[in-house]
Amino acid sequence: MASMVPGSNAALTAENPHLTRVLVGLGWGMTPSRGPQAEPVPLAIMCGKDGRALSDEHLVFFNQISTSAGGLEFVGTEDQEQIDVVFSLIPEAVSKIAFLVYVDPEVRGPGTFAAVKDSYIRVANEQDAELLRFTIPPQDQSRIKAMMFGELYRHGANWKFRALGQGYQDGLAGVARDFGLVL
Amino acid sequence: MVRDRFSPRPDIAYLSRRRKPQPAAVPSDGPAAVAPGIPAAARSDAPAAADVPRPTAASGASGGLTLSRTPPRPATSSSAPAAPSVGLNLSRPGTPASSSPSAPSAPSAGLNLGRTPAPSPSAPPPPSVGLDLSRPPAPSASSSAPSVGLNLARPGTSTPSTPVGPAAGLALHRTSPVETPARPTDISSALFAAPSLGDLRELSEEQPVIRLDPRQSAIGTLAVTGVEAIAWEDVERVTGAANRHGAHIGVPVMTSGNRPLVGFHEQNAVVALRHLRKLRRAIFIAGQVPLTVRVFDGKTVAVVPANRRGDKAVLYLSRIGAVLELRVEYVAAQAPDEAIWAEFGFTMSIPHS
Repeated sequence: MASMVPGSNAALTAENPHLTRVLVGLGWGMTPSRGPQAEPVPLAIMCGKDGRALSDEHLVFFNQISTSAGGLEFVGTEDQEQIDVVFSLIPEAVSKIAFLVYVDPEVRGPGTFAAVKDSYIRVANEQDAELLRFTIPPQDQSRIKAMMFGELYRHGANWKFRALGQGYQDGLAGVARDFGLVL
Repeated sequence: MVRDRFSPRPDIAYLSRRRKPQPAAVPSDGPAAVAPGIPAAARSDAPAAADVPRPTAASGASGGLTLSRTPPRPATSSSAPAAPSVGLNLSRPGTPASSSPSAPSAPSAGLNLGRTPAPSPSAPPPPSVGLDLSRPPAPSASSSAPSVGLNLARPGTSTPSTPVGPAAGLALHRTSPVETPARPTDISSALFAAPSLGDLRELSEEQPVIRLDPRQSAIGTLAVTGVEAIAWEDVERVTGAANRHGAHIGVPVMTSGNRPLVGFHEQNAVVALRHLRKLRRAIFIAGQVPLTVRVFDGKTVAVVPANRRGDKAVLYLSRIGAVLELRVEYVAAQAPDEAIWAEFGFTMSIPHS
């Protein structure tokens, strides 16, 4: 298992030719609160070559658990969320799959990532053996309302993973703007 | 002429007693294509078709409710064997059992509540095409044909080897991609078409319904302005109500974010959409001003607070799978909240002391 740092990348299928699908797990801890608490929500977006979502249907989250084309599906909750990626079912038009977490924009005290700790994203194989892990480094997250944890992307005929840990101060609205989503 | 009133009249055909179907004798060394429990009529080469009650034109046209005991449905030409029905069969036998033109016709066009005889586990009954309330078969190694009708069979009694559809239940434990569970098909994909949020500027008696998409239904807060009172019901049938003055009754439904699932916030009624799956339904009772519904993407729709007769609006919010549907209804202007709850079927939960 390899630990990653922000901005680093790792080959997946080039190193493991028989790797046809991976499990991407996202997780974090929360500082308990008696009042309204921030509620992080994982999200995965299928993007084209321009880095923008192919359509509003090409995202998965808890209320849209798979895409019509398949290949990307929310499958479990052992981490906060687990997302199954089947490389052979990913449409050719998809150049990368971004994995994000946003703080739900509730009007009653939405909160920020300040209460979120020990965030990570990990990539495992079919047997749930961990291949990669990226732990978000501790930082001031009091103004961050969404964060891109990492991304899977095509590199020639292969798939690679890049660790990111990039925060958005404008939350899901900023994510929607950057990825061309209507949310 | 005095006749014996109890003896059968062989001269009148319709008074002759029908004979129960008898299984045809199968030679022990013959082909075992049909199990012994299957009546002769179930076989295409059965010579004793007249012995078996067959549908007549009159019975088929009646379309009524029959409570008869019927023999097993004839096997179709389908090669996929189906699980035998051993329980109460509420299937609508008038539906063609097979698209094959050679398939025998169904025994009756009416709703059949008859208890069907239990066929042999190895018998290949036809796939269910009607409303089937039968108990699933006892454990059997045979695979079942896909049911194309509404199947209300009790789940969980099939064997693990029996193929099950995607509605086999939500698997809540899963860690490895190897054992990817079958996801239930979302019911919202089978809904009739309805306008989307943004298609209509206003809900009225003429255009009473809109439906949100899965993203609008699950991100942030659904806020309704102009609300006088609200009532809610979660998926566990916990109900409660509140008004904008702070009075409340019933039981609030709290979420893991320490917020009520449905409540008031700064004079607006709000729903925590992150916890959409906990919600079953809610109502928003209008005051004197129009109701306005707003979601995270900024789209809004207004509701006129009263119709031409002076009835006041009640906005009914229901969750259908992954989507929310909004429907405006009108009730008597002077109706108290209790009457409105009753009209919409809300019974307030009693808080635990």
